[in-house]
Amino acid sequence: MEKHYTDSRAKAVSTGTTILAAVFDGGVVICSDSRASIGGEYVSSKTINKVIQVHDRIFCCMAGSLADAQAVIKTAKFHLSFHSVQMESPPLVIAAASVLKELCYQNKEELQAGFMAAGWDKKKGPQVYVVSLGGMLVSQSVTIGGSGSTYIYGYVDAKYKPNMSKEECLQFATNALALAMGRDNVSGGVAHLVVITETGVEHVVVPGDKLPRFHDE
Amino acid sequence: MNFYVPVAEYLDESPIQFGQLSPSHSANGIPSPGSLLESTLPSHLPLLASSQPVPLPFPMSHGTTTLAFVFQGGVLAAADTRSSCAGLVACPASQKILPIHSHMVGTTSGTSADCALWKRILARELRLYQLRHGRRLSTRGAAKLLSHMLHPFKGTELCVAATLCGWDGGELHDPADDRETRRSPETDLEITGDASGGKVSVLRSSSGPSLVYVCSDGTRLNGKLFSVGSGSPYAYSIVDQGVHWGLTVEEATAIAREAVYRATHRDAYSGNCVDVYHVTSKGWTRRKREDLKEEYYREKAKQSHEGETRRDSA
Repeated sequence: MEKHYTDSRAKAVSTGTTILAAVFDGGVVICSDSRASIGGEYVSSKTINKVIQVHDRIFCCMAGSLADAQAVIKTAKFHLSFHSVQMESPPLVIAAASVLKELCYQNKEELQAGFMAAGWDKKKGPQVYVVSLGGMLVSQSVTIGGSGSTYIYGYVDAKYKPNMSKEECLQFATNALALAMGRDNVSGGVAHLVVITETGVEHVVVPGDKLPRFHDE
Repeated sequence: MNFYVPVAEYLDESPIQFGQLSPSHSANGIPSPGSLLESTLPSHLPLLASSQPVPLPFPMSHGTTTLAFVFQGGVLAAADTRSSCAGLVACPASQKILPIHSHMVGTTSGTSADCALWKRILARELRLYQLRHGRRLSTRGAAKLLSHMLHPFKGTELCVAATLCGWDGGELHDPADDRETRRSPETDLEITGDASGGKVSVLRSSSGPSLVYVCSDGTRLNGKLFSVGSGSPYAYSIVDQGVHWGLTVEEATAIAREAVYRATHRDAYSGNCVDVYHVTSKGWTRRKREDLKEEYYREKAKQSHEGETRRDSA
């Protein structure tokens, strides 16, 4: 996923951010930091939640221009709920990702937002999809995005294992976020983690002082 | 007593004339903007009076991954070995960690040519200092010297980002003496501990492992962990979560190697092999250069093996 969203010409509220989604055995973890900044200089919010629920078992993470992302997600939520009523069953994760992709691709001139969609459905179980800036849709088992993601590529490459347990995956995600927040100045605040499994959804918030500390921080 | 302070001279001298006995030494020592630009020309050409900056003949190489950190066993420095020139791998086996003297190495990042030259200049100046004063200059002193030597080039195309990793402490003329020598950092006064009286207590003794980052834009930072280069963001997470003071040498080497390996995996301008240098009180030692391609295939084999055992045991 593209990393540089601090377009200071527009000076829009943009989420210099760190977002991560990973599949584990039986579910998926999607998480983000909570800092919103303007032009990388002013923190406009320390505690925004960048993980948005678009359906019962499908969550989305946004990166890029906050305004664009919120608008797209609102539209996507509507489309998805309509779609699930029509199909008389919960939507597939790929359906949610495709809705986002259509919106991003058809409006690529105006929009500057990218997404991760993660969730659980009956057909394929836990999945993670990435919709990038121009509207490309890709399925991956672990994915990171936002400006802080450059600093954790090494960690994610090294430490992610397929079929981890839920606790291992939560620890992996928290560590990754903490490392990224430690090095990226536009990521920070608390860590929002959402765990989605067949049985339900769990929202874990790790405040700044409970984040794992590394060496001499 | 005559204290020789070389630093002030560098600020007055034209950069071209460092240590050279050139007959065309200008009477006016202060470099004018014109002469600064002429420093990009080879020195045997007649100095032109034009103020046109000379364009670079080809894009200089800039991509690399280097890292260094301090731990209980000394200083560990690691770097990849790829020298790239825009999209071409100009040299897959270059040396990015250059020894400066027996107890100091420097990692290089930026333009390879600039780094190699300035490391040699620094090594020469440190040796001269050692001969004049009977002791090695501390790492922080060497960093300050390098930073001041690079200052006249601020604003030019010179690009040097180096971390100096050294072990300070120990006298030149009595190597068998294990007593700590107390001295104030970065001054020319020596206060040896074996004098019967007149010991001056200092705030901190400058001995032990030391790591300083010096950049040609003027940054000079003392720290415990640095990673420099285009691949550095990818290496940071590995060293951030793995490095702490109490590491053993084997653990530290493993972390440094893995960090460079991960960075070379993601960064196009880093790759090929990894060099690891370890600086202790006895000097620097170098680990045999390892090809990271083998590391990649070893890891793939391990992962598929692990996947099988997980499937079997699940």
